[in-house]
Amino acid sequence: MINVSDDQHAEIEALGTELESICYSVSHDLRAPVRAVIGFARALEEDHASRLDAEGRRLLQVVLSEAGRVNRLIEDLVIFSRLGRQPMESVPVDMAALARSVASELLESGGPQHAILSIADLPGVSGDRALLRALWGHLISNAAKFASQRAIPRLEIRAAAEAGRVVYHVRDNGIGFDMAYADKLFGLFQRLHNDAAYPGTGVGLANVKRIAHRHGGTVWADARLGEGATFSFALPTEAH
Amino acid sequence: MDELSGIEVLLVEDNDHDAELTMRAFKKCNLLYKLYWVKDGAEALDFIAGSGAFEARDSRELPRLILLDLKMPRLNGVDVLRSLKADERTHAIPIVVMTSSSEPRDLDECYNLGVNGYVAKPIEYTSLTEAVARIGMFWLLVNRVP
Amino acid sequence: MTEFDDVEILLVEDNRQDAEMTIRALKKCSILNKLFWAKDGVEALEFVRCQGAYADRDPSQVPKLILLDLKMPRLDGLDVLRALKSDQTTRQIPIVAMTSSNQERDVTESYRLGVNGYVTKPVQFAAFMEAVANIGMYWLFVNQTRT
Repeated sequence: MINVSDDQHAEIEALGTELESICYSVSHDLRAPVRAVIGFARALEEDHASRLDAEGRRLLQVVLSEAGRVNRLIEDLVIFSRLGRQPMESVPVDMAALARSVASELLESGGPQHAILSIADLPGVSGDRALLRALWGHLISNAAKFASQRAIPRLEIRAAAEAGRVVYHVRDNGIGFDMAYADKLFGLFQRLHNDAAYPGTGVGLANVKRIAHRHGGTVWADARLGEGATFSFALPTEAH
Repeated sequence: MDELSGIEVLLVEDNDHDAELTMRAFKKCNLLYKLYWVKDGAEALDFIAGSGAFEARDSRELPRLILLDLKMPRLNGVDVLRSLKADERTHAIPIVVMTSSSEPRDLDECYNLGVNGYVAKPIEYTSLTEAVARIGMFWLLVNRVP
Repeated sequence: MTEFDDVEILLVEDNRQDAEMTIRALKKCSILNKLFWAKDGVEALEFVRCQGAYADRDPSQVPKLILLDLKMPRLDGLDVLRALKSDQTTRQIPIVAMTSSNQERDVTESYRLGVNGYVTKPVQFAAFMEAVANIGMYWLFVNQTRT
């Protein structure tokens, strides 16, 4: 245990707030020029690609795809930074209904075919409905993404009530990961898998962690390489 | 002045590149509406009022849609919005804010001032061309103004 | 509780045929995520305000769009519009009047009360379907609201 004085605590909070607003304004200021790069590169492609040879077109494609990547990173950064700042409204939330609603939306809009989804009875908690919806969205889409490589993708969501808190688990039968790297998982833009095989900027789990922490909860993960993973989060039953 | 008459869409945008891309998108979706581009809020109000640089314009003609950026030098989007919505003569002109901000504070302010629609760029679900197409198809083809 | 959750479109329409056509048109463009159909103005206000039969509804869930017919029994569309636009907690919800009324004074009055958009229902079936599709495509996929 490190003892932190009130002064130091205040300083840490102030630093945190400052970082937040830098993060936010950097990502905002980057948006306009990136938008122009993408827009004009696309215009070039639409109207002039026929005048380029195959190599010229390939070069242009690289410009477009990397610009798209920067765009996604910036958008994710904006969302991530906003998550730390937006006011939270605590209401009783039916977690089972919410998880089901999110899962069915995801599977309808292009989730893995033939996925087997099982959602047990989940105890509810008090929390910010929009944030919790986002949390489920990240975890379920993450699970679906990795399970989709299997012939029969399996997603399982269950929970257990404990004293003063509820622990939720989202399990997939995907490729899993090496537990040696588990502590990197929830870092911003950290990825343990190749972008080509499993697309994404790596912000989803960082968002999950942020949302859980804002509710006074925790997150962790457990996996075995080749055997799938279980992502868990615990939330206090009553508002933080 | 023929160039200023029959304007149906007024684009208020200070960023040259954003403006060019938006106008391109309009052309691409074959929305053959006469569009005029002004670069800041003060020019926008002059255009509507037929004053300043736009004295030659017949101010009785009102556009069917105003696409309005928020962050602009001199007079910003919110001030333009407030001014147009407060005036009996112009309050029914549909105004759709098109801005890179999706901050709750900006959304609140605009909706409270009576903005008709709000579009954040970059657009999440679809490219600019598709978004402009959908904006056009609702606001210019389907929507009715007094 | 779940039936009224996450409603994105509130359709306020007393005519059954028009309501069914609207719902079908929205379904065709895969926009029918969550729609609630209120058959008159009183029901509509109770739904939005989480009162009466909808007292259990979560007030933080606000529809992304209200499609509002004007000529209705009990409470008239313009009254619903006035009520929602004059209330701080509901004035931001986009409302598009969708009515068979061709009356210029209805258009003027609606805009005066703060309607976001106004659509005269096309008489022809195909035009009707297309108009509803254009409404949905803009308000549900492009327009941004607070929620």
